[in-house]
Amino acid sequence: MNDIASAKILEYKGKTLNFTPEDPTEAKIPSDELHEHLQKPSTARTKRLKERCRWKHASAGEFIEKNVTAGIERMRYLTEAHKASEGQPEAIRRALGLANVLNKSTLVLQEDEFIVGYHAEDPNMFPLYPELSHMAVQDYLMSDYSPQPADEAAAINAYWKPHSLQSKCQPYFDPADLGRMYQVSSMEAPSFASGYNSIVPPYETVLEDGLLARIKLAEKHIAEAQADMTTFPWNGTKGLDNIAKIDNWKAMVIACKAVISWARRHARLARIVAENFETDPKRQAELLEIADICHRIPAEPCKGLKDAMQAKFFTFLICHAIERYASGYAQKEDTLLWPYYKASVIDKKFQPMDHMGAVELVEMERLKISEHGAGKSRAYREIFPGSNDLFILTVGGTNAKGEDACNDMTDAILEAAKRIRTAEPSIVFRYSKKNRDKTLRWVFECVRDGLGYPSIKHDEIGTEQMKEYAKFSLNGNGATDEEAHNWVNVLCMSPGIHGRRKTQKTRSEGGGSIFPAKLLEISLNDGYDWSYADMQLGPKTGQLASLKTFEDVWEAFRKQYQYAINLCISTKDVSRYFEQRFLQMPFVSAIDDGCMEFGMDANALSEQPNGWHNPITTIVAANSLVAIKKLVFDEKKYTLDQLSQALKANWEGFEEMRVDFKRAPKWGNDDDYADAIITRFYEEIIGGEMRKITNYSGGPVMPTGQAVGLYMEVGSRTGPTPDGRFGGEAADDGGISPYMGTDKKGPTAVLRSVSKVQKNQKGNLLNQRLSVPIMRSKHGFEIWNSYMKTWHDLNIDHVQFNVVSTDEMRAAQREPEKHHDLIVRVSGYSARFVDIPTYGQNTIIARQEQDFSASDLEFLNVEI
Amino acid sequence: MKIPLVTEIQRFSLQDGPGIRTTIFLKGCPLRCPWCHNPETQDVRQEFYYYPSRCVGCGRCVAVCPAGTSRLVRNADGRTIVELDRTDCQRCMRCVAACLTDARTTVGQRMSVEEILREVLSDSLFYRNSGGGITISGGDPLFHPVFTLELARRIKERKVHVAIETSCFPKNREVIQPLLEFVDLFIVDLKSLNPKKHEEVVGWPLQPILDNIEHLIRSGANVRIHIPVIPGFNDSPQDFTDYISYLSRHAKQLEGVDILNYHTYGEGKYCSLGREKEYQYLGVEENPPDKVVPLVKGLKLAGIESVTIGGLVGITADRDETTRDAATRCIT
Repeated sequence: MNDIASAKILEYKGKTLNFTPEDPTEAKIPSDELHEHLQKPSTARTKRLKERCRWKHASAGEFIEKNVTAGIERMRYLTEAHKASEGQPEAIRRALGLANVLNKSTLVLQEDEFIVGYHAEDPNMFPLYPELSHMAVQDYLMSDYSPQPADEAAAINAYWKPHSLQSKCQPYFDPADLGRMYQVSSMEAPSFASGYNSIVPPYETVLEDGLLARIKLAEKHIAEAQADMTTFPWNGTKGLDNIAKIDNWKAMVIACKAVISWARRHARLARIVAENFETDPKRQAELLEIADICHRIPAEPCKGLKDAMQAKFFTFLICHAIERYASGYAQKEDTLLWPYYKASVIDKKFQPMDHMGAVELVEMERLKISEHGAGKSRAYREIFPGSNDLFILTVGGTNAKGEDACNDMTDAILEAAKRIRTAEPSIVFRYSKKNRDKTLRWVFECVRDGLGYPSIKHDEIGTEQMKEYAKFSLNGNGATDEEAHNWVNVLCMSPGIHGRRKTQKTRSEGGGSIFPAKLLEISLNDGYDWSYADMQLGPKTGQLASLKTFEDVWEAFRKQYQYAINLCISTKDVSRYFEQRFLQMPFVSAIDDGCMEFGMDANALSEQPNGWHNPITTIVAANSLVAIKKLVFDEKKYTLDQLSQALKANWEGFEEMRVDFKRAPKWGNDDDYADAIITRFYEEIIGGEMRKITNYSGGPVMPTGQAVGLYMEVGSRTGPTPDGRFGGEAADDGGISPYMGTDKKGPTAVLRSVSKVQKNQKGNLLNQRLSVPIMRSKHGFEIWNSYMKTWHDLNIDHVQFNVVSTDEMRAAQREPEKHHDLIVRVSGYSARFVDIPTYGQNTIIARQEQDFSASDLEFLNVEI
Repeated sequence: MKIPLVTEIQRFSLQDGPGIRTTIFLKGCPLRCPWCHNPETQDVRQEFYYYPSRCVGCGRCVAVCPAGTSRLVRNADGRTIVELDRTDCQRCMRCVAACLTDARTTVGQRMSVEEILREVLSDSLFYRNSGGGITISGGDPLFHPVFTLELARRIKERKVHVAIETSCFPKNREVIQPLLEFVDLFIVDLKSLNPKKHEEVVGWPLQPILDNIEHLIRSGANVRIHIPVIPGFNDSPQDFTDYISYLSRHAKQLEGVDILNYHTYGEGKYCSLGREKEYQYLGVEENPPDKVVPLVKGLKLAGIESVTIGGLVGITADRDETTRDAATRCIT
């Protein structure tokens, strides 16, 4: 095995190239264990915290670490409150449920930690959500991760079945349609069945105002509403609106008070431990400082960086894991924390520290997220292999004035990510040509260390989208042109507003998936799925014999797509109808300025529309259409009937024909023939048909092309396709990225192809590769930087990088125990390589090998 | 105008001149350096690679060959594969077309000038942002002087930076003279300064090469020198001294010197082309990387500012406004 010093010599067209590592100490490191040498925790404490981190990664749906199980406390106390509150207004019942959980649940305080708080009774556990999805809980009950006592858990789940979102929504749909969705081959299952959710909490109000101020505000609104109801002359057409508002405000007060007392329970606990049990005087002082912080915040406004970090974490736990489950870690962290960084690090007015103190805090935050477990359904554990959940924060970009938004907090966040090396949380960097070099250098440092993040989004494209959606605001209060700069990625790819109001609160607004590869397959078979479920999977759009022209094939696909996307979005909006009636979020509502102003629940109020849905496996469908057009309709080398026979035989006995279809032009090669068809396909159908739909918020729904881990799942459910793919093979692995190994002309040609799709898309994931030796050499930054400028000029929405050698991944497969710090980009998130199931690992190695051949001779194929 | 075959158009090239570049490799070279790493660019005619490891023994190539070059045999472990004898090969490439598993692939594509231009100009935006451009390489592009001149002229029309990689072999100066107008950078491979060794080993006299280099310098052209350091051929202290003393005379006029260590990666290509017998460096070991240190130091002491090992000149800022404008035009 080579070390880095000898791996630096590469062949390039008859020359040898020496890429000396920029850091000379790396010269002695074997290339297949590079990533085990890159972590540099900033303190002994964060090193210890990482070593004992309780990861909750899942692989093929199973948790990897021993002793990880579901806890019972949240479901127990929620149910207890639900039974006790029967007859009360639903919003208030939800607040009482939250309060009961927060008041009674066991607190967790771990050694060495400075940021405190957990969402279950034991740091090896995670809570469950029977009110969201009884099916998901049922699966836990039948697994090794069942909450204990199991009888009690089973009784609780049985209690919730009639109350669950799924039971409430299903009656409004044809069971045949739902049966098709539950296949998860052409459409994702409806969100009312999975309970999967996403949200952008308005952290800003908690940090700036504090919850006591929110309570005062709600109480003032209640008093005003009650006064309004007694004002002469009574108007029954308006006056009755006050009832629901008063209920919502009251619920907000209950929720905020419960959160304050929960935080103060942490303060008491820390003080008790400090005064009675802790023997180390240094830790004793620290525990007393924790007690001070948790007593003041989130009740009061934050004054320093430690306050802000703790308040942010408590808010995260409530919004994402206790009040309701939601995936994600959406926040503009550098902007959010900057005032507190300034107070503590620059002005040293409160909680004084130096820059490295801020870095250590961020490292501790990353480790808290790394041990955060989510009680997701099995399907959602399977489709995020190697991860814990999706945690994605956003930094960089421009501020409301359009100036560079990077600051020293941005650098601290990136430096901490590089030093501590955890897969979570992932980072999105909003790239603008105004960004300062110093911060870009940190972005590059993370990229070249192979973290897979920051993934890069185009600053102006995101801002323009916020402005566009604002036009559809139902209450005329969408994002202003200044606020349009305040956007973050909600999850992997889609931008949405952050701030004190107008943020996305539920996945029924944006999220969910549709699978064009399968839709293309059934478009060639009258909507019937012969290869997987053996059932009618979509409308009857015509037998092959009736498809006489390419346009006929095109229109058949269009109809299948219309059917599927219509069903997907209508199930989301029906979910939302019931979410606002039975799954109110009083705490989230309390911290949103809009909900506070109008006395509305966060599920109900939509000021800034943000509709999106993810087409996954678009490129298999697109390449298939190109091959059909070329070989069947242009060249007439084969008939559709012959193609159908070959597909149904999985190409067996049709090898020659398969080579022709495989060699037909493919996306990502700057090929005019293929790119013209695929651009039209994307803009006219994938985006064009989707945006004809208007969702609950009054705006269009737009495609956010990505992959998650679904390209593996859906590939296995999709039969042979006319792009030359065999049945069951993985589908394309990312949004608008070329199919693995079919981009033959290098990275610049990929960018040229991708830049041709400009209309009707909200986000589109692009995977690119960088060579390890080049990126680690002193030339790495300048090469990357000039690449980024061009990417920006081509007006491409997104790009993310893998900088990992095939050698190292193979070594990690052989000896996983030695490669715990090897992180790879799967799709919209990063994962520890050894935590990914072998099938998934192999798809990633295959992807890599295409671009980064085992032989150095293939250096020319390296992508950047 | 006769258009040469293209072996490859390599986008995102980093070592053929400054910035991000696209390099065109033309097929054909009059020299026969015995260590050549790119044997597929020597012969001006089409050839094909054969990779036995990909062969599934289906026999389709046997059936289509008009000259009977291929036959099915059973190898030691009982697998049926194709045995190939290229002696009578007519280069019709029917076998390549027949192969379903890419065990045979063609070396040398026919492309029109328009196709070449479209491909090489696609990345103009990258050239602008990196100070890069297009490099015409080979083989030796001066083996096709009329075409190379025309291509350089057409690229220059678009205000894109043009480099040429050549050994400067032509004995007739009229070949090089017209290029001066269109070529921004000449990258000249200087294989030895010992006339006897040059002629005997490379098969070409040294003098016309030196004449051409000096003519380029006198004419004000930008010149980088490439020195391939080959074990046992030009890596003795005397060879290094010769290089240093010769190049020091032009130290201030040269753009720089790139030192390229010999390596063995070309070996596999000879085998795949069925020309393993031509490869005279089989078994020759690579020099340790520090072998060239005295040469680097000497060249720097002689006053040459830009000396690299490997040829990565790096990214420069925007070259100038005209390049920027041209690049913007290209993408719109």
